[in-house]
Amino acid sequence: MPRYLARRVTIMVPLLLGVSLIIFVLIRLIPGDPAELLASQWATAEDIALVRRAWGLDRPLPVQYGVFLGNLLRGELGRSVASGVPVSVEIAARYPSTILLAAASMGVAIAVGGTAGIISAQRPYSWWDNGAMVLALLGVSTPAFWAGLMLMLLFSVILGWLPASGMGSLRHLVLPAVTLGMAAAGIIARQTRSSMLDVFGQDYIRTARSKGVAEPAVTYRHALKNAVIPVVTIIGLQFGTLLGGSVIVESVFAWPGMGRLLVDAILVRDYPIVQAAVLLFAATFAGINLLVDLLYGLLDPRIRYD
Amino acid sequence: MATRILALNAVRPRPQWLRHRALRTFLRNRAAKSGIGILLLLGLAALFAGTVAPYEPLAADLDRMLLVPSRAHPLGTDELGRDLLSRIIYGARISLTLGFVSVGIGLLIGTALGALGTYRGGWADLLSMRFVDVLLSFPPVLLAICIVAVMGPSLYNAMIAIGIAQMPVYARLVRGLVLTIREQQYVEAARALGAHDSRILLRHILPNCLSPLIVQSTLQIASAILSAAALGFLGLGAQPPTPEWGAMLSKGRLYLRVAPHLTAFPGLAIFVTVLAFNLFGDGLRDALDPRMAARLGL
Repeated sequence: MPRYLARRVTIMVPLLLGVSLIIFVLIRLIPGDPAELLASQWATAEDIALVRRAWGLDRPLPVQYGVFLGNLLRGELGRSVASGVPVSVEIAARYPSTILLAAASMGVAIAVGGTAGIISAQRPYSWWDNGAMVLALLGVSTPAFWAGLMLMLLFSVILGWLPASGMGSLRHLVLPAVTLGMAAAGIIARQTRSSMLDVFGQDYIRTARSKGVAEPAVTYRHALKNAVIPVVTIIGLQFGTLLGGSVIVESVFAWPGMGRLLVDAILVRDYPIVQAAVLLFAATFAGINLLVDLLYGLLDPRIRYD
Repeated sequence: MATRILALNAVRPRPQWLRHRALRTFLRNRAAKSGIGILLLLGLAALFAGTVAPYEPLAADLDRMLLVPSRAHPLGTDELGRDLLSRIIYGARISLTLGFVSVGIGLLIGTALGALGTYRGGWADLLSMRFVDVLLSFPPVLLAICIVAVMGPSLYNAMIAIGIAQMPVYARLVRGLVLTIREQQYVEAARALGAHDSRILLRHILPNCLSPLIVQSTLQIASAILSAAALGFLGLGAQPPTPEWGAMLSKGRLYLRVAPHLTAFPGLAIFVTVLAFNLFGDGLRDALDPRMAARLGL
């Protein structure tokens, strides 16, 4: 296991290097002088020269990438152009909220999608199954920002049950988490159904049924355990989608997370924030994929890492 | 001879074109048929927006601001007194174009990258696939957002950004297909006959990738339209006064309390369009790719 972990982490390094290279190139592709963009709007010519030297912008591009990486590794992400606050401080304040939102949404998605998928697989081609699969398709096709605003209209404006925006209590979390989890729930439901149906067709399920094991035990003890691996794969991939979606949902519900920080930064061209936020999003996604890989071994002892 | 033809015709009561297995499967699927029906309606509305729309999409009328739906304005008016129905009809033109163009971009670049790299093997394959891996390690939508951040927010840049963001999906898909098809005997035969690499790729390998690519593209159009609307909503896509659904919604949300129809209807339009493409795509997959459908248990 430790050897596998080491190998997986070494694979992650070039990937993240690649991501940082792409971000580096993208930022350099922006028309105009990057030093001017990095410095504040009111910077004098000397300030800009200072920024240029500090970021190594007067040196050849490969060297610049080296400097950029070095700064990154030391956690020196520069200062926000808009607020002047160090980027690391801005990000540290926002990151936990995004993770909280993404985790809560994933919880909703797994609970709703998993249940719907199991119910569908237990009674394939029944009304239950058709209904659940129609709902899954609706979940996948609904734009999150629209669903969010409609839920807000119903539960906050009309019924007054839940707060419309902001963060603070558990009640603030409900609408954003449901909104963000909706699409993932649909996809998890479809995957759970198909992989449960696969397992239900296996011989050992027939054996269990014919020796008189009660149906719930067949479903949960025999089938679900074996059907869960592909579902976990989908869950890992959906986490990426959730992180991307958090950008949208945070903007709808004024949730003080990284997604909103990123969008605001893009709109005012606050590039130090943009590059740090994007890198952190990608690193988080990579970390979750690693976690999913490790989970396989826990869920299925037949999977060996070495 | 004549009787034999007659006998054969007797067991083939269906018209020629309906005998095609895929088409038959597709036409039996009610969900897929409703999907294509909605798409046809949307396409017609988009094509003939000028005649169908009751008003000009950009014509402001400050005497008629934020009206609720009525006979004169079936979906009401927006904050500048523009007819919402007309704007949504013109919006169909934008969203459909957006979907097709960005998927076209992703399909072309992705297929080229996947096919060339894989077919060549060696360094080309390694490099192109590592590049694709890196692109895939961006959470979806985020890559498009980054590209727009660099190029500047606009409708055209959103199309390009979404196209590039979709490219890795195609590269992966084509790679998998080429890897299997490359080993088929007919490819070996073509090579033995002295066919050029480019001929083998274009005449023998790519045509056999078509049906999975078509299925994937239909579903990708749905996600491209969703992403584009999201970019518009965030202010990173189409800019006002363009009647783009996402941008309309983002303006409309400011009036959520007083005029919820400004938010509800453009969102409904996105939802119906995306749903139609998904229904159509699922139906296509069942019809063209039964193995895939069986594996998904659909």
